[in-house]
Amino acid sequence: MPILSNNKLTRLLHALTQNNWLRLNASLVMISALLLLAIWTTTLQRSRQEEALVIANARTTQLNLAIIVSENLRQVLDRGNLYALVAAEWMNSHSRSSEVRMSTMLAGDRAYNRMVIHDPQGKQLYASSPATRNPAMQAALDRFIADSRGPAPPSLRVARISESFGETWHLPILLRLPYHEGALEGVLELTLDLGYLLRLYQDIDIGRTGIIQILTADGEEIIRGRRGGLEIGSQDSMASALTAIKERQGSLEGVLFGDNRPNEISFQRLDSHPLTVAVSQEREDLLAAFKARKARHLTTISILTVIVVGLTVWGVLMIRRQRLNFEAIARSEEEKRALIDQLEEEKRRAYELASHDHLTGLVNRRMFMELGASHLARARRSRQHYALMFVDLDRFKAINDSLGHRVGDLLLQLVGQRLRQSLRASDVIGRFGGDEFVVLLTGLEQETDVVEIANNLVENITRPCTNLDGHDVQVGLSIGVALYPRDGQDLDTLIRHADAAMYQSKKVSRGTFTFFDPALNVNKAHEFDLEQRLPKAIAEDELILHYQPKVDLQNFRVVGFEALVRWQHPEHGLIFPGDFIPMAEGTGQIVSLGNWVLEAACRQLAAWQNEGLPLVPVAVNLSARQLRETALAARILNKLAEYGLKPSLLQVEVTESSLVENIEIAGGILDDLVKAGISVALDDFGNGFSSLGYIKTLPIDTIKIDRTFVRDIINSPDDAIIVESTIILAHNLGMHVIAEGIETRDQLMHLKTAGCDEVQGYYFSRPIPAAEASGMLLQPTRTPT
Amino acid sequence: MTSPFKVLIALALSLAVSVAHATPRACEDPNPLRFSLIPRTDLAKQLEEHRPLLQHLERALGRKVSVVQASSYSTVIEGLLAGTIDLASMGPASYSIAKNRDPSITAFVSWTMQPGTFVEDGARFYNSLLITRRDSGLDSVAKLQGRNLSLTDPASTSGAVIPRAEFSAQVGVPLQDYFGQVTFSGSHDRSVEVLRKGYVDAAFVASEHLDEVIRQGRIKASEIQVLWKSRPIPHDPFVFRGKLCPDLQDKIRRAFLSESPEIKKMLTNRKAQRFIPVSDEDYKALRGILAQPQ
Repeated sequence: MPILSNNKLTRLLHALTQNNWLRLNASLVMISALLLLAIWTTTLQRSRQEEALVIANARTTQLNLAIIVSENLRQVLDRGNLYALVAAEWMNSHSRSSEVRMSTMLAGDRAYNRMVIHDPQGKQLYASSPATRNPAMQAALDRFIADSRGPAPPSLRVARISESFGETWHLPILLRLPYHEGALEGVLELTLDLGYLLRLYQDIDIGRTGIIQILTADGEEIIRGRRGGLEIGSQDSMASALTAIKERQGSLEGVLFGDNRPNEISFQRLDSHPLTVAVSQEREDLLAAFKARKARHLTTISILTVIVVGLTVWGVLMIRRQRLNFEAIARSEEEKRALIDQLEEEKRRAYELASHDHLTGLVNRRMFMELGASHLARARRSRQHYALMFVDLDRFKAINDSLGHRVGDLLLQLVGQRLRQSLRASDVIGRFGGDEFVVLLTGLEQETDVVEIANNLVENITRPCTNLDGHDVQVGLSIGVALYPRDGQDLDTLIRHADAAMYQSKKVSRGTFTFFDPALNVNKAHEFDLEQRLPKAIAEDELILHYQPKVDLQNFRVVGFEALVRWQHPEHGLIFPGDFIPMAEGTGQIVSLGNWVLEAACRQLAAWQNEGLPLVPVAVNLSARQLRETALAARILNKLAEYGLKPSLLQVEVTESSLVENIEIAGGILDDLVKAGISVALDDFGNGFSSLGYIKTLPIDTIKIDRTFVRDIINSPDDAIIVESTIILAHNLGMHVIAEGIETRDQLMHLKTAGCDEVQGYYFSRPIPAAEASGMLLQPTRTPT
Repeated sequence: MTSPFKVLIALALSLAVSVAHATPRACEDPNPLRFSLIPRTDLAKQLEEHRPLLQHLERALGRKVSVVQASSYSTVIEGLLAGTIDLASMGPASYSIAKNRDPSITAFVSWTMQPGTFVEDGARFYNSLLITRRDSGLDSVAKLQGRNLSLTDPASTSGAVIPRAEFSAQVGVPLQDYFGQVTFSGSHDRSVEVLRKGYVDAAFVASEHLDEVIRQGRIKASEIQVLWKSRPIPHDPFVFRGKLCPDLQDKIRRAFLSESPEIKKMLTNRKAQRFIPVSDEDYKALRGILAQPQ
């Protein structure tokens, strides 16, 4: 799994090529730059807008103030026309009442505090208060009179303020008399008290640099008001700024006093009088608050900019670091990948070397064990048969020695080929070294197939081998066969047993095969020979008894033995009953054979009894021929008595067929035996046609279920049902049930669950010689493994 | 109260006025008597302070006393000269200006002020003071060069005339050349106010007015420092027109100098101690200054 995810990672890393990294970097920088651009643009734009707004607001305020002041000024000056009317009247009448009226008007007027009437020549006719005329004023009066006689006579003119102590705030205003059209009759000089204007506007705060100015039409300053009051000083001219402008009102930016400080100036011209009111403030002053704010904003976004730039640089560095890391990982991944591939290749080759025989290409022992074990694991759940063959070439060493290893090797290769050709692909073929070949036959339909395959092998491999490095060779071979599960439940056991069988095979006759289970080996001795020999064998004690234990499923103790006869033939080795019992039955020697068995069993029981061993019943098989002998029961009982044995120590097993032949005699015999306390078991139950209903009429107390049912009990539901119902029925009839041919633990567990009383089979023990059986008497418990 | 005698007198008086109007050469006996005073602080407040005096005068003179509101010192001067104001409270300078133009105008009383931070007890004089805010760091006359200055009214003695004459002579240049902006605030009160607010850096004010502003708590003595002090100036005179009938002049003079409670009340209001008779001689020195060319 880690390799898989590493693969993904590697692919991902490859996807992140140099270009992608660059694009990532570029994106980051681009985003940051756009962000900063947006922030700065917005801020600067808003700042410009705000500045424009501040100025616009200031201009509005200025203009409003200028309008108010000019309107007030207009009203004050218009009042001068009233004085002109009264003065004109006085000019006509010189009456005391006119004087009183003028004096009264002046006394109640807070704006004007003095009036003088001049004749057309400039001679003073009347003055509200005595005063000496200063020369400047006289000059202004003369000029006004001169202008009044000119083509464009002024109706009103504002003269210059005198700088003498008492007259600093006296604004002289000259009016033409009469006010109406006509020849000049005289000039009225009014004095406007600037204190009046100051008091009107002294509480208006127009800022540190704010100025209210009253200017002549030519832009010449008449008075200048500040936050602190009325200002005296140099009479700077506003002409440059305002004369060019013809509008009634407006705002502009200009320099006021030659100090190079730009001012915002708003002005309003009076409609009826040659005066202009201007309100101005220095731009610096107006924008001070705004600029402080702006500076704060700029500082903030400067800090922000530094942060963003810092983060971007950091980000780029991080990406670079990540990229280097990723590249390092990618490189190391590639190296690792290559290493893994190399290792895997080497592993595969090593495995190949380790698992196969280089010479023949067959699997070696190790691999064989591995494959075989997995096949056997499958075999446990299968109804099919498995067999292990141990194949050994005969006289291979001689060939090797005489013809050389080269020929030997070629021969082995050829044998390997032939083995492969002779067997199915599903079979496992291995070479264990030397000339030892091992074959696991898998999934056989029936046990007898093994015989055919073995014959086939022998035939194929023993064919002549031509031109092995120039030599023609023919080899024989010996095969040992062990069957699963009968001869072993695991591979080691099967191999061991097959090996043993192979040696048996070599010993008996080369060029053939031998089953580990001797019962399966077809004896090649001639029946004739045996027939001739059997009486002598009986007489000379060539026969022996082997004992197979019966195990109680309640406590797994050995509760009995079945005695089975073997013929220890001096030439042919151990011959099993299958090879000579049918023959004995045919010749009638079965009776003497049966007697011998009875005798031998009793003798053995007596021997065990004498040794003081705890005894269990021993069962002997009775043949049909024996059951025809009416005195059989008596003879059995006599024999028991002869050896001093209790009858219950003996059991007899009969087959269904042996009973059917002469049911009356046999039934009588069995009745007698049962009465004497000998139990009777029905052997191979299930193979014949008998039913339990029939059997219950016979004196049988035990049923032995045939091995063919037991074999398939796990895999065949039919067989399992037959076995289970047989057990139930037998128990209902009060019978004991023994199952034969138990080879596996699964079978054992199944039978125990089904309620079977006892079992007998290779699983616990194959038939064993008496010596081994005595050991079993001492330690009767057979714990299932 | 409405006795036939009094009605007769009233008739006679009104006749006298109309006769006076008809013949300007004769002395004037105006009814009502027109009183005015130079702006010192806001007018309503000033009137309130002087109300006991006016009440006393009305009773003593047997006529109404009307008040002419003055926009500036100039209003009072012109009014006296035009004959629209009969009696006025003026400054030494404004009196002198008027006197220069009409010698019949007469100063008849002045007062001594209650002692304060800057006015000495019982002194017949006060001073023009050049003050700055203590926290401005402007602690010498030299430092004030190019700084903004507040004057009072062009006709104010201590607030404009004395500085323009005496201080200018001392520093050698006209005020507007020595200082930066020079503005007229209109009154002593206002000069202190614009100084306090920082609209200007320095101001010339009368010591007695400064005392009053301090008394009112509008500024603390510790907040200001005095950088220059003029020579003594005689206190403000009360003046009347010379055209008033001698009898009326006499009555007025006696009314001021009487020990009536109203007079006392008015003096207390003005933080003055008592009225003292003065003559034109007392203000001659000032007239000399005003006659100098600017």
